[in-house]
Amino acid sequence: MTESCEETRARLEAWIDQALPEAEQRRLQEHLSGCAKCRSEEAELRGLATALGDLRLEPESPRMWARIRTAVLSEHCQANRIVPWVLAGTLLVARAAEWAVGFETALLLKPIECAVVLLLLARMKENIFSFAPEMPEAAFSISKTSTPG
Amino acid sequence: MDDQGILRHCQEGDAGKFELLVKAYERELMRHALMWLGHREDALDTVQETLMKAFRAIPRFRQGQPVYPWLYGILRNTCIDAARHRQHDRIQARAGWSDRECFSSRTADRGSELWEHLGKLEAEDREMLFLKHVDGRSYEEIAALLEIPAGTVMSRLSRARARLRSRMGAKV
Ligand SMILES: [Zn+2]
Repeated sequence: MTESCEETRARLEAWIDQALPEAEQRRLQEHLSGCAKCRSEEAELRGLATALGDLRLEPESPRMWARIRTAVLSEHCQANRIVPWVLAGTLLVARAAEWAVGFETALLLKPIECAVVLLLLARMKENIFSFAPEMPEAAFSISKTSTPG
Repeated sequence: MDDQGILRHCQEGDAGKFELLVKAYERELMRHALMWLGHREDALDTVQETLMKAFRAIPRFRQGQPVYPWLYGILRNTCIDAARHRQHDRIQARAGWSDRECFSSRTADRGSELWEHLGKLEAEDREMLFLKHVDGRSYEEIAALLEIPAGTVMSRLSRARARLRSRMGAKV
């Protein structure tokens, strides 16, 4: 006794999707060999899978980097600018307070001054190494384009 | 440099490395945007928006997290929003599903009939059919991409197929 039509229908899709264990495949095939209705269901499902599989979406390279490059790098610069400027602002306010009140903060301020200098140096280094080299436009138009038909 | 390495560099402040990620995935994102929207210009705008959102989300990217599912999740939400706006703007529903240059098929007539039918499906059904049959992904791969169980992939796919078949009058 092989499995019922109902059981077969439930397994057909998994079989066509290549996700049915081998033992179950054998039982399924046994049923199919003796059942025309399930064979026609199988043919329909396979036809659908083939038609879908024949569809191709092969867009040309959308060259997104050219579209977003400026926005990405300027947002990045803005974000990067904030930290040193906040520190520099703090420093300025503290120096002004020191001058106005005569409170001795020199020792306290040394680490902040160092941080500002380091951050500014780091930013300069980044500008030199990551922003300056430009990929020529042609370098990324080589990628494969669409294959119609 | 692998994807994780690229994202680590970006997180450490080297924004220029984002270019590598863009170039690695832009075509895949574009194909998936076309599948969602069926319209080239809309798809281009959506991929652009996706990449900008991804760039802004880099500080929150968890190292070790798979990269394409992360990007695809952002694209998916952006496409859903884009499709909603398209309807909201009183453009005839699915008016965008018109760009026949988006696809090709080995069997031209049947292919364009199928493309029309796909355009009338719910986007989630179309997504399933596309990921399985056009992309040729396994249940497990789809499950990983959508972050759902493989069993759910199977049942959603089966439902999507049933809906497509009923639209096509069970003729394929
Ligand atoms: Zn049967």
